[in-house]
Amino acid sequence: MSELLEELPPQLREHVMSLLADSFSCLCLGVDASGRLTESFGDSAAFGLQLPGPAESLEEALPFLVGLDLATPATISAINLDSHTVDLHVLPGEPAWLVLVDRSAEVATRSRLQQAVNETRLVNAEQRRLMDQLIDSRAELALRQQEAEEASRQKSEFIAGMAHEFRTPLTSVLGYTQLLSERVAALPAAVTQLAAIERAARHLLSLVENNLDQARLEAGTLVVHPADARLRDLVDDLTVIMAPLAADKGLSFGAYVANEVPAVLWLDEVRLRQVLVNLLSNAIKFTDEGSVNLHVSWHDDWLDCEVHDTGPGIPEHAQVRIFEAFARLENTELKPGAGLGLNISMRLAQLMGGEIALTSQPGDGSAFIVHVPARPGRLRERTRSREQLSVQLQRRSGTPVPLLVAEDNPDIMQLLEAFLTPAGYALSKVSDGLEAVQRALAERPRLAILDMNMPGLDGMRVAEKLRAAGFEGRLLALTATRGADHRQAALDAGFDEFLSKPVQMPHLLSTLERMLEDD
Amino acid sequence: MSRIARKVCIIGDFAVGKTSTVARYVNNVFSEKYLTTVGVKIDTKDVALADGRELRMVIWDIAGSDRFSAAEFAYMRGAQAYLLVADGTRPETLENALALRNAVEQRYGKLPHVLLVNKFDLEDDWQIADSDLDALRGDGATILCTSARTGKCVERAFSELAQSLLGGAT
Repeated sequence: MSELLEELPPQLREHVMSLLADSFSCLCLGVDASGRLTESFGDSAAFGLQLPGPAESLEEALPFLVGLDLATPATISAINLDSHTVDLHVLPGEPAWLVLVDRSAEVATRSRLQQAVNETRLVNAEQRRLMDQLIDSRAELALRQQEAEEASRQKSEFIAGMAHEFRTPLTSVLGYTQLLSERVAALPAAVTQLAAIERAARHLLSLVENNLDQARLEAGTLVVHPADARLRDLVDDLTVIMAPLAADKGLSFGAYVANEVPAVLWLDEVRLRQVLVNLLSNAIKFTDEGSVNLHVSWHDDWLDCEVHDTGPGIPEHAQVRIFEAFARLENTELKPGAGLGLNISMRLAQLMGGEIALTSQPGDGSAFIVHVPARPGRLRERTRSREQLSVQLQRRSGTPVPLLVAEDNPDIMQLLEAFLTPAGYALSKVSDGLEAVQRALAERPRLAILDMNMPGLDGMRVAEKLRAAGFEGRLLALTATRGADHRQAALDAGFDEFLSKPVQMPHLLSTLERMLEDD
Repeated sequence: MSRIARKVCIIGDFAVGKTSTVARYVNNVFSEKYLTTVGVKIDTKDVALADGRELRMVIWDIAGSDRFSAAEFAYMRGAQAYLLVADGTRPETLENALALRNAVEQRYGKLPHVLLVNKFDLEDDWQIADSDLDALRGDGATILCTSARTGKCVERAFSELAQSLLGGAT
């Protein structure tokens, strides 16, 4: 601009100068060495400044002069005074000159732009912070979930381990109690006392089983494994178990399967059995006179198992609550139980894709209806072959059926022998997995009962080895470990059947009978 | 009564609360609304000294920046002490404050200063660990956690600064 002005003719230069002067508001202050104002040009009031008299210090009126070096040329831009924003130019000399140029309009525009820029940067920073928090939260959540899953897994493992540890001794307690009952049948007092021991042991067992299932349901690790199941065999087994319990209380027990129920249905037999055992046990427990009956019907791929009793009935207000975990009704405190059975049964029925309905009137008994999907299975109905007949004939003729039993617990082995020998089986006994393989391949029995936890080789490996070696006999797994996953693993390894300890001896016998018939 | 006038500056990243800190100290007010400073704002505060004198602090509130250009260095010329401000909810502003301190020291040598970590009222969003501040204190820095909103430690910050200006005469 200064070069341009020098080039301009004087008349034009004067005009341009006046235009420039009009566009800038300017205040010039002369300051002596002692910091006092010597002279000024421009309208100080237009800058909102009140200039001091000659005797006063200029710093008092213009605080921004404090610390300012008047001997050094400088430009300080955008000084916000009370009402104006100025650029300050320092021109050293005697006097030194301070030139204040009003920049209010320009700085106001810059302020608006800068405000928008800074607000955007703050929003971006906040977004980054929230994103970081989100990432941290998700990582924390994943960690917590992992910890919770691990804790749940450990809890389930602990409970499963405990349940396993309980089952083996309970097998002995229940089995020997049953055995003793038969032997002391002539001593009514002893029979009564043994019945009390058996009831207590069964109660203990149901508590263990229910706690295990409750833990699995909570952990979400309990899954159902539908497979082909023979419903009538299941009902026969239930009758074998429940009829004596009902008879002990003077109740009549009946189990009826409608003709339309297919011989083979696609469902999780283990879990359905568990639900029905629970409902039937409850019905017998709470019914003091009359009857308990099971009616099974089927239509449109749905199975209905109705458990009727002539017990005291359940008031309407309690009919939902009894399905809650740990729920006990007021008048049932004297009956044993932890209040888990119905809750587990309902959840199992739901896992199977169904439900349990209840109809009941106080004083008029109760009916629990298990309603689960069950399409017809793929297995063919059994027909008796000549070989099956030969087994029956063999049994009836008194020729013992050879049976390999691999079990490392001597108490359980002794118990099995005590039940199976009188039932017509000739036991070949081993207590080690490796020995079980050798004996099975050497003797080729038609059926082998294998404990799952044995020294040398566990039951699963024994089954695999036998099947790999072409063993064609039937294999029954007997284990203290329960659960559909274990059952499936056993079937995959080559077992034909899977029973959990403590197995009831009538159930074991009927299972063996069925397996040999199927052979 | 004689009066001593001293120029002090307040510097730091944008939106750390420099202008709010000065407003709290000079006028005892606080506004929730964020207003960007462009250039420099100048305020004064007269402080009575223990020896009967009066100190006029001329406070140059310099527009927030994470690095200094020639304009900002020009604002700092003639300052005898400064407040360095960071935002406790934005850790990067502490790093930037320390970088500004290095730049100032390179240009003007070591000047008395106090480091303020502001917005201490925002406890839930606070992101600067005590251990980090302790490490800085170990280097000889005077550090205060302040809140322009509540006024926490603001008066003390300027008092510390005045003390360092006059060698403990406040």
